[in-house]
Amino acid sequence: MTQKQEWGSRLGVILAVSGSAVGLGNFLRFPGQAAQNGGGSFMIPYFLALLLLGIPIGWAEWSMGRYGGRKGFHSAPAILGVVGKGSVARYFGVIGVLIPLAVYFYYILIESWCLAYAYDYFVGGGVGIDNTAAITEQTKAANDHFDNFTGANFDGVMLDGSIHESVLFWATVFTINVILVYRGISKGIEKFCQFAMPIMAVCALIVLARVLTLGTPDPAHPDQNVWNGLGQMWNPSFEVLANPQTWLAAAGQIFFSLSVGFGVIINYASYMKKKDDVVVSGLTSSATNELFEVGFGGMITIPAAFVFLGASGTIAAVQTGTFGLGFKTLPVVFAQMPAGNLIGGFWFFMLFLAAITSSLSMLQPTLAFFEEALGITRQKATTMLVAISLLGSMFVLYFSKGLTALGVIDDWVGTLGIFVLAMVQIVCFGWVFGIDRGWKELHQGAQIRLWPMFKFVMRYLTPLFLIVVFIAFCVNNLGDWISAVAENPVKQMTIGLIMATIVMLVIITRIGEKRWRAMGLDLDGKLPPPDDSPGKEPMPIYHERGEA
Amino acid sequence: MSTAGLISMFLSLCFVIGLVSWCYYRVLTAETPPPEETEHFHSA
Repeated sequence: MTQKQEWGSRLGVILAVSGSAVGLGNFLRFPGQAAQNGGGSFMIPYFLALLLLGIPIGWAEWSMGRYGGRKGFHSAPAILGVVGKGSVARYFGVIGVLIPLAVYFYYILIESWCLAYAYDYFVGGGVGIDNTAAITEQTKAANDHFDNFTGANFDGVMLDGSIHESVLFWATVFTINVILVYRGISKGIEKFCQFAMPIMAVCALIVLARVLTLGTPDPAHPDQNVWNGLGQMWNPSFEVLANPQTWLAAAGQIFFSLSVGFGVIINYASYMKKKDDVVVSGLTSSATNELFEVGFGGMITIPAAFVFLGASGTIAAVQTGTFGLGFKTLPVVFAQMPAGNLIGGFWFFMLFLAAITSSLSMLQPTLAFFEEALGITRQKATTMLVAISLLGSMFVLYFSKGLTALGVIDDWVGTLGIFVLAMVQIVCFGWVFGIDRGWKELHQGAQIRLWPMFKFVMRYLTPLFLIVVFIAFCVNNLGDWISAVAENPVKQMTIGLIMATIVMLVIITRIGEKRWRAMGLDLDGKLPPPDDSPGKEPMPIYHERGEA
Repeated sequence: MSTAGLISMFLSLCFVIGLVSWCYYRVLTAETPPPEETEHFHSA
C-alpha cells in the first residue's frame, strides 16, 4: 500500500517550519548582534526588517511551495521552474537544494557538539572546569575542551584510526537524522517537531528562570547583577541608528534567523493542500522563531555572562562569535552558577533540539529532489543522500583545524547562497509569476486578508531592501573571502567540494527536466494547477515508498 | 538597567509575546477545511 507525503496537521507544519528556523543563532548570534549594535535601539531596525524582509519573503516561499506542490513538485528547482516559468529559474533553484545539503555537511557536527556537551553536563559533571581557579584558567580550560573535542588544533585528528569521542556523537546524531527523515514528513519530521519544540521551550524556561533569579551572586562585585545584565543587553544607544552597519546587522540577523532563502519552506509548503492557510501559518512560524530569539535568546545569554564575567568579559565573549560565546564562554558561566551542571545540561540539550529540528529540515528538500528528479524510491533516495552527506560531512570532520572547511561552507553557501536564493524567489514571485497572481495564490484558503500595502512591499520594497543589504554585504565581505581562499589550500579544496556538489545537482536537475518533460508535466508553469482546471490530466505525485 | 532599556525590553517582549499569542489563537481556533478535490488526483 502506498501513502502520499503530506502533513498530518496544520500545527505540525507550523512547528516543523519553526523548528527549522530556530537554531543556535537565536540563542547565541542574536544577543551578540543586539548587544554590539545599540542594545534596545537595535530592535527598531530589527523589527522593521522582520516586517519588510523576513515575513514577506516567507509568505512568498509558502505560497510558491504550495503552488508547486499542487502541480506535483516538491523540490526548489522544479517549483521555481514552474513559478519562474522556465529553465533559468529552475537552474537557479538548484541553490535551494545546495544550501540545505551543503550546510548539513557541517551543521550535523555542531549538532553533535551540543549533544555531547549536554551529555557531559548531565552525566559527566561538566566539561572539566575548576571553578576555584582564576577566570583566565577556567576560560583556558573551556577553550582547550572545545578545541580538543572538535579537533580544532589539527586536521585529521578526528579520523586518525582511534575512535574519537566526538566521532561517536557525530555518528549517533547522523543516524538519528537519517531515521527520522526516512520515516517521512508526517511520521518522522512532524511527529518529532511536535515533541521537540515544546521540550525546547521548557528547557529554555528552566534556564531563563535560573538566570533571572541569580541576583547578585558575588557580593564583592555588587554591580554584576541580573538587572545590570539585562541593561547590558537592552539599554539603547540611539546614535547607532545613524550607522548603516546597524541596519545591515539587523537585516542580516532577521534574514538568517527565519530560514528564508534556505530552500526549506518552499519544500515543506509543497506538502500542503490548496485550501490550507499559508498567511497565518507563515506568520505563526516567524512569530515562534521571534519568541525563541527575543524572548529567550535576548533574556538569557548576555545577562548570564554579565553576572559572572562583568561588562568587559561579556563584550569580549560576544566578540568571539557564536561558537566562542556558546561553547567557550558559557561553560565558564555555568561553572560559577549554582546548579550550573544541571542548567548547562538543559541549555545544551535545548541547543541540540534547536539544531536537530533544523538539520532534519535540511535533509528533506534534497530527498524530495532526488526522488522526483530521478524517479527513484524514497529508500534509494535516502541511500544516495546518506552517501553524499557522509562524504561531505567527513570532509568537514577531517579538515577540522581552525574549523576551516566549516567556515568556508558557512560563508559561501550558508550566507551568500541564501541571499541569492531569496532574491531569485522574491523576483520570481513578484515579477515573473506576477504580484497579482501571487497575491491571489497567497490568499487561497487564508484565514485573514493582508493589508494591500504588503502587495507593494513584496513587489518593490522587499527586493530593493534585499539588493541594498546584499550589495553592502558583498562590499564588506567578498574581497576578504576571495583573498582568504586564494591563500589557503584547505579553503580551495572546500570550494572544490561545493563546486562538485553544484555540478552533481545541475546534472540531476537536467535529468529531472528531461524526465518531467517526457512525462508531460507542466514544468515551465504554462498551465494552471490541475485542481484549478477540472478535466485536465491529474498530475502524478511521489509516494512515500516511491510508487507513483 | 536604565528606564529606556526597561521600556525597550518591555515593548520588544510585548510585541513578540502578543504576536505569538494572537497567531496561535488563530491557528488553534480555526475550523478544519473540508476535504478537497485534489485528494482524488493523488490516489494511487
